[in-house]
Parts: sequence; C-alpha cells; structure tokens
Amino acid sequence: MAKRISRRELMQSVATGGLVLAGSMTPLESLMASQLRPMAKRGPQPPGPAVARYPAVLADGKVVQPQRELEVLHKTEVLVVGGGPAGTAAALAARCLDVDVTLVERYGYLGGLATGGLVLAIFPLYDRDNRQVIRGIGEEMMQRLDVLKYGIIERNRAPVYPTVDAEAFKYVLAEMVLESGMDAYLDCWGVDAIIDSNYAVKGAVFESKSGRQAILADVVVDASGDGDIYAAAGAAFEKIKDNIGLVSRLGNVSVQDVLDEHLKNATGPRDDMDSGMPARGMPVTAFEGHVGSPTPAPGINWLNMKGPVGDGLDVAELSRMELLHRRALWKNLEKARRKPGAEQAFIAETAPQMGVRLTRLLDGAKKLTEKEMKTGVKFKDAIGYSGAYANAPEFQIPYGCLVPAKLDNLLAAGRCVSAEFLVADTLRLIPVCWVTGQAAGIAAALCVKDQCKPRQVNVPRLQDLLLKQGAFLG
Amino acid sequence: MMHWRHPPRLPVRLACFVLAILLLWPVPLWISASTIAVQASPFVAICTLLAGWAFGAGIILGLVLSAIAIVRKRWFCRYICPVGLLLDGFSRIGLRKNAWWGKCPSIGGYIVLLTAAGSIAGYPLLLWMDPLAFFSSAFTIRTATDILSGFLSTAGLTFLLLIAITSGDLWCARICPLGATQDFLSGARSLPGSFKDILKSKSHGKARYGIAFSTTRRAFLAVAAGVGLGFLAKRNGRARADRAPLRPPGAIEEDEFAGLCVRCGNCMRACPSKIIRPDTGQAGIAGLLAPTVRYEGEYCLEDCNACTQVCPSGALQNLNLRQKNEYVIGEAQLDPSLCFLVRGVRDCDICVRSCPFDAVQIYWDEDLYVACPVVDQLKCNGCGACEAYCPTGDVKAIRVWKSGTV
Repeated sequence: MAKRISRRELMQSVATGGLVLAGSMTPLESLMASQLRPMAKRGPQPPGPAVARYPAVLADGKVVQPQRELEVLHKTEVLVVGGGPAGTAAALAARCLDVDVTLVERYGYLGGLATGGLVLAIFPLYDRDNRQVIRGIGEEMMQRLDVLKYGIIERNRAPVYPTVDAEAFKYVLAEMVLESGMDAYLDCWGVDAIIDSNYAVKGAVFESKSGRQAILADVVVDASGDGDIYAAAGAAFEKIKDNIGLVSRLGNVSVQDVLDEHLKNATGPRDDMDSGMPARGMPVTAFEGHVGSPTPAPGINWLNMKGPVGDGLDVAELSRMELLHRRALWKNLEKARRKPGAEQAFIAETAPQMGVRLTRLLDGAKKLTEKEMKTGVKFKDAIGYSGAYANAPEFQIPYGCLVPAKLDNLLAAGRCVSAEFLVADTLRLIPVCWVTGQAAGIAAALCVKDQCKPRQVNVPRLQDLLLKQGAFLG
Repeated sequence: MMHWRHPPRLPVRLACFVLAILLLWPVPLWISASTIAVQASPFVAICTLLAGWAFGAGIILGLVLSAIAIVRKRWFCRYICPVGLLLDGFSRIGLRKNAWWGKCPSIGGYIVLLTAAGSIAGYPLLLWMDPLAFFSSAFTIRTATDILSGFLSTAGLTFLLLIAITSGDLWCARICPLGATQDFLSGARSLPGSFKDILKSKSHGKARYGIAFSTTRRAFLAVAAGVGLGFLAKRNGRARADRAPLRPPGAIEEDEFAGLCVRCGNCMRACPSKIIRPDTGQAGIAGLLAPTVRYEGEYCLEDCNACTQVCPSGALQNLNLRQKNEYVIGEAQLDPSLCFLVRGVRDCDICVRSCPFDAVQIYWDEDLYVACPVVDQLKCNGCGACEAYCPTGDVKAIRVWKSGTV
C-alpha cells in the first residue's frame, strides 16, 4: 500500500488508458452508425451507384415490360407472403422450429383483416359444447391481449366470442414478430412467384418503395388471402365473388345500440302474437343509422358492413366500392347522431382494408367439401378444427387443403386454401386462419428440415409438432 | 272352456301393464309403437274412425278389442287397461272404500255420446278424456322442458289417482269414456230388440259397471249437443286459427286439430329436437295441452318425421319424409329492426347458413346501403332452423309465424 506511483508511471498509465479508450471508441462509433443507419444527413444526398433502368415500353400500341434481372433482396428458408392472421401464425410457428423465416406484408402493420380490416370478432372459436377448439398460436396471441388494458373482451365466455382491439392486436403481433427473430418486410406487395424449370416455387417477387425485388426461399407459404402467389405460379384455382364491405369504428357512443332498449322491452318469442309482426318482404323500416357493437376500448363501437357482392381482384370495382362505402358510412353517422346516446358520435376510423372475403380458392391435393364439413368427417391428416357455426358442427381441416394439386414448394394458408365455397366461407374467418397458418408454417419448416416437398411432409410429425405448440386436434 | 272364460286376471293385467310401458317408454319398440298404446282403446279407435282422420293397425286392434267388448262385458277394463290396474291398486290404499257415488248416474255414457257425435261433426269433443291418453301423456314428463308443461302432462293421470284414493272406483264405474264405450258395445249384443231397455237399465249400486241412461231423450240430447258443440268448436277454432300457435308437421286444419288431438304426448316424446311442447293456454282453453312448436335452440330436422308417425287420432297426419319437408309449419319472417346483420352489429349470416332448404338469401339494398336476409316463402317450410340459431337473444330477429298471419 505504501508504494506511491511516480509521475512517470502516472503519465504512462494515462497515456495507455487514453490509447485504449480511443481504440475502443472506434468500433463503438461504427456500431452506433450501423444501428442508426437512417441517421443520414437531412437534405440533398450524393448520387448513388448507377442503376440500369428498364421502363415499360409502348410499342405498336402494346405496353411491354422488357426482360430484366431482379435484385435479390434476401435469401431465406421459409418465406411467408402475407402478414395477416394466417401469415403471422405461419411465420411464428415456423420460427419456433428454428428455421430461417422471412415474413412479407403488403400494409404497414401486421394482422391483416383482423386489424386493418377491423374484423375484430374472434369467431368461430368453440364447438357445440362451448369447448374452445382453436388454440395454439392464436390462443397465445389472445393470452398476450388478455394482459393488455382494453386488449380483448368476452374471453372464455362461450358461446359469446371475444372481440379484440385492433391497435392492441397490431402491437402484440409486432412484439411477437420482433421477439421471434424472423426477418419481416412491411409495405411490400408480393406480385409474382419465382419458379424453376421443374415447376417448383423458389421464392417470390415484391414491389415496394425499393422497386421490384426478389426473395429466394426453399418453401413459400402463400398467406396472401387472395392466393396471389400460387395464382402467379400457375396453380389451378376457383374464382370466387363475395360481399365486400368496409368496417368502421365509431367513437363517443354511450349506448351499445339504441335498439337494445327496444329488445329489453320486448317480451318473449311468440307470446306477443299481435305485436312486433314484421312486414312482408324487404323492409322499409326506418334505417336510422347504426352504431354497431362494443369493442374493448371504452366508448368505441365497431360497425360491420356486409357490402355488395363484388370481384375482389378487380381494381376498378374495388376502388369504386371503397368510395361508395366511405360516403355511406358518413351518411350513416349523420343518421346515427339523431339517436339518443349517439349524438356526439364520430367516425374514429374506417378500416384501412376493405373486407374482401373470398377471391381465389386453391385446387389442392384435397378439396374440403360441404358434405364433409356438415357430417363432421374425421381426417387422418387433420391439422386442426374450425369451431361450430350455426347448425354446422365443428369440423376437421385436413393437411391436403393446404397443398396445391400440382405446384411444388408452396403451401396455402388462410382464406385461399382448397375448399368448396361454403366451407371456405368458414375457413376464411380469423381463428380458422390461425389454424391453417400455424399448420402451414410448421409444414414448411419440416420441408426445410427434412429436405422434402410439402406433399411428402411427415404428417404424424406435423401433428405432433402442432400438439406441442398447443394446437387442438381433437 | 271354463279356463278361457275366466283366464287368470292379475297376470294378464300385469303383462298388459308392462307391455303398455314398453310401448311408451323409454325407447319405443318401433317408431310408431306408442300409437298402438293409445289406439287400443275402443273409445279412441271408434271416435277417430268416425272423425275420419286415422286408420291403421292400431285402429284395427282397437276395433278387435271393441268387438271382444261386445261379447265380454267390460273385458278391456278387467284385463287390458293399465290405468284400470293402477287405479285398482290405488283405490285399495285409498281413504274411502264405500261407494258414496253409488247413486250417481254414469257420466261416461254422455261423454261417449257427446264425443262420438262430435266426431261425426269432425270435432271429437272429449276424446282427450281417454284413460290411455292420460296414461301415455304421463310419460311426457321425461321430455318436459319446464315445470308447467311437466305438471300439465301428468295432471290427467294424477287426477285419476287422486280420484282412486279418495273415491275408489268412481272414475272407472261412472266417468271413464273407455268403460262407457264398452257398456254401449256390450249393450249392442241385445240390439236391436232391447235398445230401449239398455238405455233404461239403471244402476242401483249393485252392479258397479252399468249403463246409467234413464231415457232415450237424454241420449238424443247428448248426441244433438255433441254435433252442435262439435260444429261450434270448429267454428271457434277457425276463428282463432290465425292466432293459433304453430303446430307440428302433419297437423290437420286448426279448426279440428284441438278436438281430434287426444293429448297423449306421443309427438312430444317422439321429437328428437324437443321442439314440440304442450300448449299452456296460447290457443285458449280448447287447445290446452295440444302440441305446439317452439324453436328454442332446436328446429324441425329435415331428416325426421317421427311426430307424424306416432299420432293415434290422426291429428298429425302420417307423412313420409318428403311430405313432411313439404308440409308448411309456418313461414319465417325477419324483423330487420332486430337483425344483427342489418344493424351492423356483426357479420352474421347464421339464418342463411342454418336453413336446410336454402330459403334465406342475403339481399344487398344499394339505396339503403344495407344487407338484409330475405326469406323465399316458396322454399320455406317453417322448420325454424333460422329462428333456433338466430343469435339476437331472447327475442329472435327471424321467427316462424303461422302462415297467413303475417
């Protein structure tokens, strides 16, 4: 303790320390630079490297896109196109098996129609005995919503089904995707498939602000909802037209619905034979503006719109419809304000996405039929259940519904899987999309691990992994 | 010969009692087994035959038993009637064994005359007083959905048992129309010569079973009253038809339905959906306990015609599956002011999906900018699937109404 350091020694240690510090600063600085990459200076930027441009050319009255090489943005093992209920479930499920997963989403948030379409009802979730038959990743999402204030209501209250808050759900999905360590690209629209000479899908092409780029993958999960990727790859499908509406959220609604009072005052069925008889035929009763039903957020209702039947793949039709829908929503609001409890109502939000229900249905290895749905046929390759709906009981969904009849290296998930129209009308619903999504994700990961094609996937192992992830298979 | 004349009573009665229970409870031996259990009554068999709505193996059995009653006085009561056995048993443990009613005239004879005459008018007024119908009805308690209907279904038999306990054989000897029918039949043996004597023969308490008609005039008045009341009741039924509750498939016209129905509860027990419930007063006193249809949770299944197979009186006509599905129970109508889809409460299409006949479609009104389920009345038979599954709560937005009332 007694030894004192000399002046020289002090100078020496200070100098070495300074040098070490200076040396260590350099990587820290570069690290910060890489973390805050867009930090970039405001204002005019130096010109980037020269890029060859191949604009479409008008020749002889025809617009031709010249052949060109696409930049490969990324290489991955499992590519999931679409970040809706099916896509997020697929990507998260695949990521659980520790494969390299890339998720690509057209909008700037995750959740698809469940959040951006304001389809806030988590239905159908239960079987006829009010047992929850859809679990797995969807259940995990709902459990994460459970702990959030105003995240989800009517949980575990079968047969009443839960309603979620769209923003809470977007947050939960963002959190789950960030935690999983997958690559995610938002605002990125899958526009084409990449196939090899053996008619096997090798990735997909995207349009974004970065232009047209490619992502190469071992297996692609088409969770685009419209089946854009399998259609682009040339797989056979059935074209569907369905109602297309626009859901909205109303704020400052102090009663759920003015008609609830009317309902409370009404007596039991048929005890009032003389009163309450409806008019014959199409109603001309006063449609005085509707305010929908409650959401988890206080004072906020969601208002459904069925909409007319339209072609969800026709941009002109979609555009006109969306304009008309918005106009109608405003007119409805003005009528709703005349009702007590809704005088101060306002439109909190119109859904960023229109409620496109069904557009394409894959011609898969197995087409789930209405008869099979209604008779509750059991499948050896079942990958999950849909809940009961009206007088149709809960039914199993076979793996074959996700696999294209001919196309290789691609799995469909969500509302564009292989089923007859009336079955797809149930498969398209949010929790059922979780089911097909999770199964497609695990199957895709198995393809990578076992070096096989989707149609060769070891189904018992797939089912085993689904069970391990908490899914319900009966 | 002697043996045939006097077969051992108790074993036969017990065997018939067990057989009746087997026919009615819990799973019938065959689909229409419960029909036989009621049609075996000569009273029911003859009156429904007169009313002209039913014929079949059970009716033939009832006629055969009627024929035996011509030869053997009150043969049915002594050997077959399960209610008779029950009442005998109860009257033994009863409070009063002396027949205080000994001098009372037989009411049963008038009941039979009224009902038979009413049958000819198409409205068997008091057919529901048949003891086998009471017996059958008591089994309906098993499927009763509420206390009131459970109580009402057993009320008939309970009443008979109370009579047995308090007043011994009063029912069997003086009131029971089944017994009185046999009295008429055994009297017919001495027809044509002594019809007057039969009607005149008075019971003086010595003979327990006897005909208590004093004069032909009373009999004539009873018949006239039966025909008159029958027509009146039919008119009343017609007048109320548009306010009547829904009836099960195969139900005959409302004006005769309440009269022909014996309230045996067979249809209620046969229904797998348990949608057939006893009328607790919706159609007035005349329709009390007759079957009505209520779609609470279940509907009239498209692959079932069970209720049409079990009616002993023909109030529910025997229909095959195709005919049953074509039978219009009522018509479904939507009250749009309650409909979830119309009101934007949720994206509901449960009525469309649940309809077994594709009768409900969603119509999009471009001007109102609203979607609304619309029922095709040509396809709708009122099976109630839409009403049963409509999720609006206690008051359904879509309901089945009696045809012509909407």
